[in-house]
Amino acid sequence: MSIQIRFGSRVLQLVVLGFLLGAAAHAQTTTYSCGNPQSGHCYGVNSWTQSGEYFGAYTDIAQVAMSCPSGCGGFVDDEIWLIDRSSSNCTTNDFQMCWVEAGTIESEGSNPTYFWADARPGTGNTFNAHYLGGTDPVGTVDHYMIVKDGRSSPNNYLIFIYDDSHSTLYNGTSSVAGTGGCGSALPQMAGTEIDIGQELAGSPSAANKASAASANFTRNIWAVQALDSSYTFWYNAQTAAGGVRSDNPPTASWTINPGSSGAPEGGQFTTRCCS
Amino acid sequence: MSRQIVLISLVALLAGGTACDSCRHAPVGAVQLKLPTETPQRPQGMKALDVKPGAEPFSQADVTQYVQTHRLAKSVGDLSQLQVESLQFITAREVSGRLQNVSTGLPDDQRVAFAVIKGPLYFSGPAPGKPVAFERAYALFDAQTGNLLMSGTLERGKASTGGDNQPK
Repeated sequence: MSIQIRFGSRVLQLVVLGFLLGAAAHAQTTTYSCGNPQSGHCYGVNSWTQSGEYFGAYTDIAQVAMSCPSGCGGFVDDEIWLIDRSSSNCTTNDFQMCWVEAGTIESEGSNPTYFWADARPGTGNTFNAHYLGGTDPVGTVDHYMIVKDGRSSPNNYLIFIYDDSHSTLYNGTSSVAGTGGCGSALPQMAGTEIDIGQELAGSPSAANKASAASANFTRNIWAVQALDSSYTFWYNAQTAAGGVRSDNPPTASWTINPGSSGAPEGGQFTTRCCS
Repeated sequence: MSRQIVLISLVALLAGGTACDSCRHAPVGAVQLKLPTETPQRPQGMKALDVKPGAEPFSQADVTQYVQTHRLAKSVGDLSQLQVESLQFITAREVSGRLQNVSTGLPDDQRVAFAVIKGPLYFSGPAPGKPVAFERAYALFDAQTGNLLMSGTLERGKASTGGDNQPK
């Protein structure tokens, strides 16, 4: 009897050990398929939409350790987008939508870099990415702002990336695309969607997959009017979660719901990749 | 005395006008966040090419080697298929002219290198973010440092025209 129990116990130990080893091996070998030319990227994002215009978007993102080694086949980033999917000048551009985005990107074989990009109305030179510089140390909370400039006509969008002390301060201008000198400039987009979160691209082997530590998005606010002579971002805070997409990876969720008791302004949305 | 009163009133009016400058624009129920007013840093770009002394700090072959081993932001596809068709050293002002009034964030007279890349290259946007094929793209380098400053799309891929954004 005692021999049976001891034998059974040994079998159980082996089963448990095998399970643990298998799980560890699975964790090492599992990877992701997030974008070759035939499929789309993967996202861990929250999306807010409204019928009226968002004149700007803003979030705070803490810098985290990111990696996309040679062979990762794409990139990983944390960022904010202001999007127009419905204006006729946007639905007819190369992407069938316009947007302005800003964030931190880790591209294959590079280091984490502040960037902003836009896809403007019109075709041809639709998409432009601007690489600003290396990011602040891990743990630094940086501010990412996109705002429509009502002081100019047609309206540009201004992009700011900065830290509390403004020792890091980059800006950019998403200008209205010209028409090659053969007519008036195309009308600017009107954002009705704000997304925050992580984008992941590539279909690497397990040894080359990207990674990004947990990043918190806080102070999620939006501009209620275009920038005027007061040079102020007049805002309302997001008070409810939007639609969440978590492709696992990236993994994304609300860790503190906006509007909940004691929540920071605009809640706290968290992303990570790729374990 | 009356002159002093007039002067004080004038100062108060001016001060009040300044203080209420932002109040006049305040939308109901909105909160204000002032934008940074300091001079921003010039874009540094990301490290890309080694610069050599002489008239041509880097060559078309150097750029080819770079784009075949480093991915441009938001693109996917086979890097080994990419070819650099041309590399020209021009000013930031000329870049704006070529790219439909794009703002580079650089001084107009800054010397940059504009590379035209033949793909196809596939770029995508926010979710659901299906890739869109482009026949040609560009990469812009700082002629002084060799850093990559910008990249983007030029010509749409012929295989994916006609409203279907998916590459075949």
